[in-house]
Amino acid sequence: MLITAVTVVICLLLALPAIHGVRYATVILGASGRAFARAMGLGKEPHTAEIPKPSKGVANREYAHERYLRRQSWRDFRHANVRVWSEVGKTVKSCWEKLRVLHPAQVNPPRPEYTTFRRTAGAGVLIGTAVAAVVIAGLALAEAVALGVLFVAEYGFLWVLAGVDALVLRVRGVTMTCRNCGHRLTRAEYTCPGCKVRHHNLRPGRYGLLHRTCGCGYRLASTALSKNYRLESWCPHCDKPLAKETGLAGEIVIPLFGAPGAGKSQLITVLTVAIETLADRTGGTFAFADDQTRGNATKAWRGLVTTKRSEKTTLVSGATTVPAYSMYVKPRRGQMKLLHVFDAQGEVFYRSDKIQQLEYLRVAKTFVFVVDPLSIDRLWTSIAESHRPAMEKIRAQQEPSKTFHETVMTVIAMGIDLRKVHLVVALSKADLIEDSLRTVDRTDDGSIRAWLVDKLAQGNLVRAMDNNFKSVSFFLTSALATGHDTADSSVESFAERTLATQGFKL
Amino acid sequence: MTADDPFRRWRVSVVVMVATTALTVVCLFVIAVVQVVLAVLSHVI
Repeated sequence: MLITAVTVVICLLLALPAIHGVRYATVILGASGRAFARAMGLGKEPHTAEIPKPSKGVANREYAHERYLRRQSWRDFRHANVRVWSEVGKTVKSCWEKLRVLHPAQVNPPRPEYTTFRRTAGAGVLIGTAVAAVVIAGLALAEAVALGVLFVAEYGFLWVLAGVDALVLRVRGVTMTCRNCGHRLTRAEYTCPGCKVRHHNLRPGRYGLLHRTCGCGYRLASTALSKNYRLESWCPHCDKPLAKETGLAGEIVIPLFGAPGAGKSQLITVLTVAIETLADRTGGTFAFADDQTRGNATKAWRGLVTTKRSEKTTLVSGATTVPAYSMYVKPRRGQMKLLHVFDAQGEVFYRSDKIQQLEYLRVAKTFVFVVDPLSIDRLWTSIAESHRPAMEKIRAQQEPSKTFHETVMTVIAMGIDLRKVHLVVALSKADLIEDSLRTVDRTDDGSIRAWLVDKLAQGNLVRAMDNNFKSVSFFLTSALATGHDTADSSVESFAERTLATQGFKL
Repeated sequence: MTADDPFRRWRVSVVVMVATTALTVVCLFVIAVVQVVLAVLSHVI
């Protein structure tokens, strides 16, 4: 019985410093926890580590914050540890002070029970400090390990994310083509909606994974998965804006070529209306991809309805290509596509150096060759002389074979494999040569081909087309507006079948 | 917390992570102490 009582007393005596130790450890850990939270930006009086402000216009640097785990996490780690250990020092010192400075009632006269209390409490401070230090060091180590693991995992995830993003774009057939210069882009530049600063390389990397934070604080999506195509985008080649939401849908690029006055611009004007009508009629959707296309198309259509003529295509000073007509078309069933229809000045096709500047020829899978039948001598001479003066003004001056051969030779020299390209031949101004077309079935490709070969002596041209291209189809078109403000049915048929060459059915 | 802190979420996540770890350590420590005390008392009494 006595032994048990002595053991209990000894245990209690040993337990007293331990109890004090737990108490002081709690005090120290609480204070250091609060210091840690403040150092990480929490609480009423946060004191975070400084975040370096991104600079504008620095070579190979974007105006954006680097991703957290790359550098800032280590700055925060160091800062928080300095603050926490400093707080530990202050708290321990404060505890000692409280023990050292006693109330006069406790020391005058000296009372032994207080001396015992001070000794056990002092031991408790030492024990508490040691426990708290071990816990804090352990937590710091755990945090460092966790940050390190996350840092490594983030690098791995970065590559996976970039790969998945590229794969998704590939599966969805998404490409990016500049509607101004015609370059096929591997990446676009994007403008921050907050500060209008241009981000040149917006993809998973040093500035973030799915998102990045611009220097102005705006959060930008950096992958197609996080919908970066919603940002205003720019071509890195010509520094001009891309069509809205470029990168959202797959593209169809259709370039038109032909001699000056062949009717390319007028055909594009009516083609745009025809596609819109077809989409509406079949339950699909149609939208202009940018304000410039909307303005140009509306102006050209109004001009055509009023004057029955299209204005000649002109280049803006300093430009090498005419901006495409860009539109989003979605059939009732199937994926939406961004359609770029590229026009060019007819004079371009006189000179191979000018043709080579038409970058969009490299990415197009269907070419449209616009032929003015009036420019073919055999047909021209068959027209009554009394009708010729009126037609002379609207007649293309160069024979189609010259334009075709010049263009094809240059395109082949550019390294483009035309055996993978469809050719659609649009014989324009059909409304002016009704008499010559009496025996031709306008809906039959073979009949138009036979007419060209037999009646107009264009056998060499047709054979050259067959030899160079994957497939060739012929259409007779009257690029006119009907009384119902719609496109002529010949252009609707032409539009439908031209898009079908690329597997796009309206 | 500063309103213009671009790493707000990350910092909060780190605090939550450390706090969770600390709480787990404390809980484990308390359980261990209670077990030791119980073991001692069971021997003594």
